[in-house]
Amino acid sequence: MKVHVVCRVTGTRVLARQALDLVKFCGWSVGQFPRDDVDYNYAFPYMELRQFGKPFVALFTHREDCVPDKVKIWESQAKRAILRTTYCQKYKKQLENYGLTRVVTSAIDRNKFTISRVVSKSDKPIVGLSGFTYKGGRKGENLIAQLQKHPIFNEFEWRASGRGWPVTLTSYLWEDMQKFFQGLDLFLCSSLYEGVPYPVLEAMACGVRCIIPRDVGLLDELPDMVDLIRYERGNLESLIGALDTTLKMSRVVNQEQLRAVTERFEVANWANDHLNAFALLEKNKKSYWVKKNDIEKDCGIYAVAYGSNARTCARRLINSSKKFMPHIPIALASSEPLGIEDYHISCPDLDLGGRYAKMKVCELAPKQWKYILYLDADIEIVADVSFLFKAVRDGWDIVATKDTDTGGFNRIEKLFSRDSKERELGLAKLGTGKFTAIAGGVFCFQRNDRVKRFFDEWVKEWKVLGRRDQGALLRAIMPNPVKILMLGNQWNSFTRYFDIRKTAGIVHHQQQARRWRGNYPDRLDSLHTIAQLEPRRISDKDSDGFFEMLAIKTFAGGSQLVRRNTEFVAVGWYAQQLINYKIAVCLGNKIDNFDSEKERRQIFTEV
Amino acid sequence: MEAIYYIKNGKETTYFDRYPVAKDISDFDKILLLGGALNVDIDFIPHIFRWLDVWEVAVVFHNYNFKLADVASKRDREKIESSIYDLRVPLYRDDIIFIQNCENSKLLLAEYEKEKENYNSSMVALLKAIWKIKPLILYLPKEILK
Repeated sequence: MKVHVVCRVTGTRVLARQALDLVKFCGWSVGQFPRDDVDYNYAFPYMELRQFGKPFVALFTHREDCVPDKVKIWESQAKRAILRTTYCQKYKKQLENYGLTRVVTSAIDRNKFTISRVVSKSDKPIVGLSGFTYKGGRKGENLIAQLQKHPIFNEFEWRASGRGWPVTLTSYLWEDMQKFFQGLDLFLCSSLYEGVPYPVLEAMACGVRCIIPRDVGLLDELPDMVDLIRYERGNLESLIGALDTTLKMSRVVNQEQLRAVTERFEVANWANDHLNAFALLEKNKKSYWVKKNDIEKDCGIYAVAYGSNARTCARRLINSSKKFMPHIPIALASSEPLGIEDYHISCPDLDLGGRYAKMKVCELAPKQWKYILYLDADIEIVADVSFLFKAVRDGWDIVATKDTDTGGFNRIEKLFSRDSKERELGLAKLGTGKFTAIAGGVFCFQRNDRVKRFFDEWVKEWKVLGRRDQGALLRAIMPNPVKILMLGNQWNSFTRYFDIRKTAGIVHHQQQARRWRGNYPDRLDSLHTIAQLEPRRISDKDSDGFFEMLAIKTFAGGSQLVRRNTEFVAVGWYAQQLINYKIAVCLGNKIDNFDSEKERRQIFTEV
Repeated sequence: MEAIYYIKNGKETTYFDRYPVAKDISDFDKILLLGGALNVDIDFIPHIFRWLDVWEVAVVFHNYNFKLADVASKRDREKIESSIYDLRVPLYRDDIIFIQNCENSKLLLAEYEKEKENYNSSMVALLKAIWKIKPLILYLPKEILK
């Protein structure tokens, strides 16, 4: 599915940033003008594509009822669009009268907007206003002007960023915008019409108490809490009451609680909601599907998808494969059927990356298949790639691809440099890290004894550490040679590293299917993500009782949690952050129960 | 025993103290076939020889983006596509090949010689031979050549 976002990408305005996130995370394109060579053009926002004669999708940010001309455009575009996206339930309800409408979760940069430890030096509470005011007055600047005449105004110190506010204004570059919020005791949103509004979410992410209007954007969807004080939109008396309430409150704010509310407003959800919404359009295109009798009997595609991200990606994979190779059946190993696969493979959700179900492909794929193409869930097929089946039919045991040569990932020593345990095992088996790293995301094989031996060994080697599977793959294949054909990255085209225009048809949107946000210190796994790990997983066991341990070890994609005696403890460079986030509560295990500060330090040092 | 064998017309300009120069490849268990003057990562070679206990052949990637389509002439393309099906298959260097002294390696070299008569590019000939014989083949990174 090719989507082109029609957006004026200039400066650091919010729509430009959001459009670029879609480019980055969904593999879409962006530009000021529509394109003819794509499946869908996406008006971003609905004001775009007003003269466009073909079907399009549109983002409906906010309905500005105080500007009648804009309301006309809103209604006209809502009628014309084949799919409407919007930020909040309020507008969804309105737009659904025109047809298919989906809410897309707005995203803020929670790594940028963080809780500050800056202590206020002012005697009066510092209140902030933010945004650029417009002719129609939708930001509520007139309400602030009225408030200035009331004595309560002088009970606060006022600051503003942006444009047009009747108080002292300070210009902040986008790079420094968090500093504005971090210097506040209170953030006031005076808007009358908004889609989100973002400054409230950003202030909350910074742990700043907020006064917010009712019936504006998604603000009514935020939970009731002490530090979110509500007033009636545009109502001066109600606003004065809210300000008065804050004066009576303690200046100590439950910052963590405010920030936790913003957890779901992350870019992964923004991208996933879009992929899900557009998939609805694809679902209606039935022409790709063929009669049962025409489907190949002895071959098929096998994919694995656990967790919402992977399942969203798998939908794209299946739809794209059906588009270009309608005769090839698809099996999906997942927690429950997706509904569009030809075969559902039932395999327990045992590890974070779904790697067990992947490496068991030789056993789990439909028995009648002799030739099997495994594809990662985050792959999109953009051309017929049945050459891979032809090659294994011709006698190759396995057709695989090398990993990308960008950054040295094509040699296994790159993995060794990032994981000392992998290095230790790899060097013991291979003797050197200079061998070619085989990518584990795309491989086609035929079932025979040689190949089965290799897969059995792969699973065995992987279980040693239960981490990534690439090191285990090499340790398994080297002593168990197979007739392997090694292809280049035309057949496994990573969107980050490869010129996608040169792909043979397998576009790999790597990392989109993952259940964690990243394995870098500043991109900590979120509570939201951890909550997706069902408690039962901890006690799942395979025949040799391995997975009780593994489910913990693979948490967060590495060895951040290990068993120590009868407890699980967190180790590694972000263990402290895990503790801060009280992950133990989610997992139901004691990860912060160190015997002493000394022991905790020792564990950190060892890692 | 392991040895270096200099492919016909290859200049003996890359020397390895550790390995003798073979006059006949059938005299040794594992051989590095070398043509031209190549600056090879010497430390890596023993590891490759070691794995030739179980693998029959090891070849080195040419430029990673270099594929059949880039060298095959229009006339050759039809011939290739009838057997290899797709021209977006990478090419492997034919001036540095590791072989185990076994039946499949001999078949591969014989086929390679035969195919060289059919194609202008010796790398295309090597790929054709590999495709036909399908030995147990290891693929080495191009960084083996410094």
